[in-house]
Amino acid sequence: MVLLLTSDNEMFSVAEDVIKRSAYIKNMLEDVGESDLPIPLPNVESNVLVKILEYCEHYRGEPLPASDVDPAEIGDRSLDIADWDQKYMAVDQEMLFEIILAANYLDIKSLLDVGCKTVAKMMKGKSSEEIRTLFNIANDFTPEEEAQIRKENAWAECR
Amino acid sequence: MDQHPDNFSHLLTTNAPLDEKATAHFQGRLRALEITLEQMSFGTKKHPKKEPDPAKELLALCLVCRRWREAALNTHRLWSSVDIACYFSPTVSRKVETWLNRSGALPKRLKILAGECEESTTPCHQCKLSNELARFLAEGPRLEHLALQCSTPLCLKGLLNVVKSHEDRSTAGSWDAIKSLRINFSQEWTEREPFNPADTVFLQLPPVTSLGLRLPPLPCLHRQSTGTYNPDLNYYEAVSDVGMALHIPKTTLARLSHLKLHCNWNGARVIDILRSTPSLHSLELGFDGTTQRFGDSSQIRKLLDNNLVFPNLQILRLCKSHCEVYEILQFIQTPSLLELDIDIYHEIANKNDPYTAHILGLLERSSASLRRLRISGTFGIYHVLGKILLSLPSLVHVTMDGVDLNSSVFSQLESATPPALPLLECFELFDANLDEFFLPVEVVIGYFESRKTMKQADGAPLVTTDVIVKTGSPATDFTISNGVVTMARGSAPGTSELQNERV
Repeated sequence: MVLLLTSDNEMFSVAEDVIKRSAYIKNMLEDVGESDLPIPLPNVESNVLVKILEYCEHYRGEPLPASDVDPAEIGDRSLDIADWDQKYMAVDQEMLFEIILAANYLDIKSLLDVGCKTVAKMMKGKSSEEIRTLFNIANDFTPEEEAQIRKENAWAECR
Repeated sequence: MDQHPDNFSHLLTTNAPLDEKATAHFQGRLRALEITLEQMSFGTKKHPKKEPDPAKELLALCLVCRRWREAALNTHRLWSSVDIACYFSPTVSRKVETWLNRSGALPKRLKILAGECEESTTPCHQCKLSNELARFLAEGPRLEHLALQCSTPLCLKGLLNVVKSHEDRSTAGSWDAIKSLRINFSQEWTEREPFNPADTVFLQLPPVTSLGLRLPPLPCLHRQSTGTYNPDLNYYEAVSDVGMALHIPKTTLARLSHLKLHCNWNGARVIDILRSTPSLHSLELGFDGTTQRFGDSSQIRKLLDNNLVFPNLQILRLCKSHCEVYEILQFIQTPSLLELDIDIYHEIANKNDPYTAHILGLLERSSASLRRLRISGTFGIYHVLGKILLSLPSLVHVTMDGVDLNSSVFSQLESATPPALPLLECFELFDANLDEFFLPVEVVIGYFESRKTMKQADGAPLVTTDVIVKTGSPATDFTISNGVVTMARGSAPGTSELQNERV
C-alpha cells in the first residue's frame, strides 16, 4: 500500500497497482523505493483525490495505450469519450477543472485526455464570445486588435 | 454560465479587488483551460458535414482573450496540421507555413484537397498544383505526413519533377523527410503497358513508412457499352485492369509498417503488393464493393500451400468488401493480430457461402491474441458468430454493426465451458434487429446477467462488461455500465426487473 497526504492533510492508503496509473507517483516509488512515509500531494485536495482514485480503480490493470501509431492518424484524435468516462466526468465545472489540474500534476495521461476532451466538447462549435460566456472570461482585446487578428486569419475562411 | 462558489459571487456585481483565495481560484481555472488547450488536437481530418471546421474553432480560441491567444500560440500541438481545399497560391503557402511553424519541432501534417487538373493524361501536362506547392514541399517546413489528391500519376510526376528542381537549389529537403503519404488518384491511371518500371512515379516517393493509396476506379465489366452480360462474371461489379501497369518498388514496400490500399482493381495485384510488405503493423484494404480474383487456379494453389506471413501485423481492416473478397483470408497468416475489422458490402451471403469459413480459418491459423473484433454490414454470419466468438477468448472489445444476431448466439455463449469471452470489457451492438422473434432484449441482458456467476479456469470472476446497444428504437436501446442496466426509454418487455441492478 502507498500512503498519500493531500493538501488538506487527509491521509489515503492506496493499493500500489491502482495509483501507479499516475506516472508521477510511479516514478517517485521507483526512485525512493519502499517507505512508510506518506507522499505529500500539496496540489490535490482530498475531495479531488477521492475522484481521481475512483478513476484509477476503474482502470486497474488496464494496459497503457500502444505506442506504435500510424503517423497519419496522430492528428485525428476524436472527441469520443467512453460511456463510463462520460458518467465519471458528469461533475460541476469546478470539479472538472480540479480533475484536470490534478491529472496534469499527477501525470495521469488518460485521465487528462478525458478531462480535456470533456472541456473541448463544451467549447466545440462555439464562437469566441460564447466561450467567454461559458467560462466567464473577459475580452481584453481592443476592437482594433481583434479586427487585426481576424484579418490575419481571413485566409482560413476560404480553406 | 460559470459556477462560481457562492463566496465569489459578489465579484460579478462589484468592482471589489480579488482576494488571495479568489485569485487562486481563477488562476487555477484558467490554468486548467490552458492545460486543455495544450492537450487539444483538432487534427487534419475534415469532420463530417455540419461539424465545425477545426481550424476555425482554433481561431475562435485565439480570440477569447490575450492569455488564451498566448497559450494557444505557445501550444505547438494545436498548429501541427492543416487542411487546404483551395488553390495553393503563394499567399496561402505563406499562411500555411506560418501556421505550421507555430508547431515548433512537432511532426507536421498537411492535407491538400485542391481541385483536379484537366488534360492531366498528356505527357506535357503541368499539374496546376505544381509551382507553389512544389516549392513548399521542397523548401517549406518539414512534413511528417502529407495527403494529396492528384488526377493521375502523370500529374503527380509533373509536380515531383518541379519539387526535384527546387530541391537541387536548396538543402531543406522537406519532401524527402515525409514519413507518411496518402495519395488519392482521382481520375485515370496513366501508367499503361508496355511500361518501363523505371519510369513509374512511385520511384520518386520519399522513404515513407506509412503509405495510403487510392487508385482511380476502373469501369465495371457488366456496365460496358456492349450491353452483353457474361454469366461467368459475378453480377456484382467485376472489373478488368488489363493493360494497367502498377510497379511499386519492392524497397518502398518492404519499408512500410502501415499500408492502406483502396481500389477496385484485380485482387491478384493486391496479392503482388502484399508479397513485398513483411514489416506491416497495420493493413487496410478496400475493394470498393467489387468482386475479386486473387489469381488463376495454380496461383491460388500456391498461395494456399504457402501463406503470406505478416509476423508483425496487429491491425487488419477490410473495408466495404464484397464477401467474395474474404477469400484473401485463406492466403495470409497474422500471428500477432490484435484487431480485426471486417466491413462486408453487398450482402448476398447465405450459410453455405465460404466467407465465414475464411474468417474462422484466419482466426484459427493465426490469432491467439485478438483483442478487438468489429464486424459490420452482414446478415449471413449469425449461424457461425457464436463459433467465432467462442474461438477468441482473448477478446476485450467486440463491435457488431448492422449484423443480424439471433438468440442462439447468446445461448451458445451462455452455455460454453469454459465460459466464453472471459476478458470482454466492451460489447457494442449497433443497428441490430432486437425483436421478440429473432433476439429479444431480455436475452441480451440475461446473458450479461449470467456472466456475474461465471468463473474463469483459475476461479477468478469474468471481467465486467460495459454494453452499448443502439438499434434505432428507444424502446430497445440500452447500456450496461458498471453492472447497471439503463434503458434509453422506459423498459423493454420482461426487463423491468433488471433495471438498475448490478449485473
